[in-house]
Amino acid sequence: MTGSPALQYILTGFDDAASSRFSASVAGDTDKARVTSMSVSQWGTVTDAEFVCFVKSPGTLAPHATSAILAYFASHPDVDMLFTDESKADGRASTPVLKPIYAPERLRTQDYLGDLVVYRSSLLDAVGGVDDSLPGAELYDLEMRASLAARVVGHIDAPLFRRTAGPARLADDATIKASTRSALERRLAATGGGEVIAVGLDGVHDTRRVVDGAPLVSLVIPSRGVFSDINGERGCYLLDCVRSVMEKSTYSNFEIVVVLDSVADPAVIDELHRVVGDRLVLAEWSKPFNFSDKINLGVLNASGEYVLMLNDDTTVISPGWIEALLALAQRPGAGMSGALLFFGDGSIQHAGHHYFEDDASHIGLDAAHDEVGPLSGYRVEREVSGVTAACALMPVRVFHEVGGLSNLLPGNFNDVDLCMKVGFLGYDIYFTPHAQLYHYESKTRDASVHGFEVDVVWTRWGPGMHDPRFWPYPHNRTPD
Amino acid sequence: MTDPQREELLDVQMRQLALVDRIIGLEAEVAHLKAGKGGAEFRSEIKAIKSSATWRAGRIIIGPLAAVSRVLGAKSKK
Repeated sequence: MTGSPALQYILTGFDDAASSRFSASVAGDTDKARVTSMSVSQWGTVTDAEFVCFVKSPGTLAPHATSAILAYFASHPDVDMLFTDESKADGRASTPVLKPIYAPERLRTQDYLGDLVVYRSSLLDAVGGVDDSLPGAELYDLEMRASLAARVVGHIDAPLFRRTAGPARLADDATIKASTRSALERRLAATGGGEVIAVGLDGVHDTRRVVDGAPLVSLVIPSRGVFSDINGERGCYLLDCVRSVMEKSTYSNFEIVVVLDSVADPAVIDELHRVVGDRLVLAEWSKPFNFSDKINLGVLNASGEYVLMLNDDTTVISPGWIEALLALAQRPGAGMSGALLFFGDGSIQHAGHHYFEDDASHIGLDAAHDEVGPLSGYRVEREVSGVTAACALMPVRVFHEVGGLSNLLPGNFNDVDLCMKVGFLGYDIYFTPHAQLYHYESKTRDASVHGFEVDVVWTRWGPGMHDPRFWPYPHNRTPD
Repeated sequence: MTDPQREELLDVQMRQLALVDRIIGLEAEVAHLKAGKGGAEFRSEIKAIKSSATWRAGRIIIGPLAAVSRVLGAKSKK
């Protein structure tokens, strides 16, 4: 080929055999692409192509992948950076690796863009190209810096690359960890601040946002406030819940607003005063059951800048749960944040909402306690379509802006509807695995779903009940 | 909790939340109807919504409620 190719593939750390196999897979598009194997820091010396793609792992392109990539750029002129789904060789078969769209918070917890990331050369020039002072993490650093400067980061939801081995190791483990930490710190500093807690060689990192100031958070807990049989003994879920909040929470500026039914046991009220003290606000609910209106009443009785909706059949596991939720809810444009919930037996109950083909379900439902899920999704902070109101934090102003929880939905789907409203008004919703609680789901209410509840949600949101942006899998957890 | 004025204010605020909820719900319905249907059909849907009892009742209720809320809100701040 003579002249400048449209797309330059740069293979990083490939041996000769792997380079040959990759080059052979470009065969159908040789008039549009050129392949070079070299160190990432040398890229600027070899290409005058309009687009540059650094390939991290040995593998091959799907037929006409280059044409598909160039066609995508041609039809999306504002896209400066692009990544694709891929597949992983499993013997002679392949396992698809589906990815969410570009999700800025997720990217600082995980290098999930994968092996085929394509940049406009003009974007690379604008960000100063590869930083070779971060050996072993140059390309992750480049992804994080370039995505902040890109007008749009595009995603092709088709497996255009088949990975046959893991990424080439471009430095020793200690160097990679140190470089990755520096890259993550740079990303956090450029996007509002945060902390790098741990760097993983598997590409999954524990980075966290930090709380800005110490705003008052109002925990709103609707409850009947009665004793019942808990595992064969007389107990009260509400009291167990507030005791765990008071004993375990490290965040101190909160109040607890309990919306109690008129039938509440006076002994429960006495104990609430004793446990919670002057942080307790009581509101009385004397009408027929309506979870949404009970929450709304609680929020109207609250004084906090943030409201944390909490079911009475939950107990706190992680001491820093409020900080984890609050730090995400303080992000610019944030509308809501939600927690990782476990059933009493330790299996996962909720790791975000999943709306797929008109069905709403919990990500991770019934997965084993230590499962990490597709693309480690249960264990990373990330953007989601929705979260359960069993434990969700949001700015009070957003709660009012969306009209609170819909009282057309007294028992079910009120949180799905709430999340849809939050998203409809353009706010982001986040999930954090660093706020962990037990949720003894529906131990204190009737969980029957009524036809009218289904009608309300599906009539309102119709097409919105299919949202694969952040969880692109047809299943809510890893298939058995 | 037994202050009648406070109870009245809470009642008004609850109704306001419900009305905002209904408006967003209708906006959402309109948005996906608009996305999925042609112009004439969409205008017909809008006309039907605007002539519905729910829409007209909402228009009647939301004006006085906002006025009451403003009055009560001003009183409670005194």
